[in-house]
Amino acid sequence: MTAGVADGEAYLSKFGAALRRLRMADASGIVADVRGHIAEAAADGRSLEQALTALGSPEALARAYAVELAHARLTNNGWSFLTFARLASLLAGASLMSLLVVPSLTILAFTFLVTGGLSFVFALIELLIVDLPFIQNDHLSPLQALGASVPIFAAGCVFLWVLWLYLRYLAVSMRREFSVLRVSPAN
Amino acid sequence: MLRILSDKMSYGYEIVALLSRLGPLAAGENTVYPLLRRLRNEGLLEAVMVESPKGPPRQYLQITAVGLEQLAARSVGWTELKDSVSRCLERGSEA
Repeated sequence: MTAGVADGEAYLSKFGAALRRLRMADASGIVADVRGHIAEAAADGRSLEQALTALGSPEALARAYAVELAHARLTNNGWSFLTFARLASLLAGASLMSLLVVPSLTILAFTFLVTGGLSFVFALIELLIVDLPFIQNDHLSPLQALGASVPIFAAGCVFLWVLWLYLRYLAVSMRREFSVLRVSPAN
Repeated sequence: MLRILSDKMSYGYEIVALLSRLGPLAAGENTVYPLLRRLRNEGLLEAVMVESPKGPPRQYLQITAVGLEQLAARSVGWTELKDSVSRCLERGSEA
C-alpha cells in the first residue's frame, strides 16, 4: 500500500467514524460516495492532498452531511409525531433516572467524603496530640479509626466519580439525540 | 443541481467541476456531496451504476419525476424572485 492510498484510507476511516458518532444512517454509503470522489480526482490528475483539502477535515465533512440530512428530515416531516414522541420519551426517561441517581450518588459521595475526612482528622489529632473525649469512634482505637477513614474517604471519591461519569454520559447522549434540531438555515 | 441533472445524468465529481465554472454558484465538494445525498433521500434524484472506462463502475445521478416537478415549481419561484429583484434595482421603490 502506497503512502497516498494509506492517507486516503485513513481519511475515509476517520470520516466513517465521525459519521457513526453522529449516528448517520447509511454511513457506509456516504463513505463510498466520498471514496468515489477521491478516485475520480486521482483519475483526473489531481493529487490526493488536493482532493482531501477540497473536501475539508473528516469531522467537518461529516458535520456538513449531518446538517444537510437533518434539514431534509425536518423539511420532509417537520415535527413528526414519531420524532416528538422519541425525544419526549428520552427526556422523560433521563429525567426520571436522574431523579433517582443524582441525589443518591450526591448524598452517598458527600456522606462518605465528610465521614472519612473528619474521621481521619480527629483520629490523627487523638493519635498525635490530645484525647478528644467527645468524639465517638465506635470503640475503635485512634489508629484503627485512622485506618478505617481511608477506605471510607476512597468510597466517597468513587461515588463522586460515578456521579461525574453519569452526568457526562447524560450530557453527551442528550447533545447527540437533540442534534437533529441544530439546523443550518441556509442551503 | 436539479437543473443541471435535468439535461443529462451526471456524477458527483462532474457536477462539482461544472459548478466551479458557474462563478458565484460555485460550491465546494463539502457542500455538493451532502446536498446530492439529501436530494437522493428526498427522492428527487436516483443513483444508477454505469460502467466507467477509467475504472470501477461509476455512480451516476439522474433526476426523478418528483425531481422534475420540484424543478418546475422552484424555477417559477426563482424566476419571480429574479424579476422582482431586477425591477427593484431598476426602479427602486417605484417597482
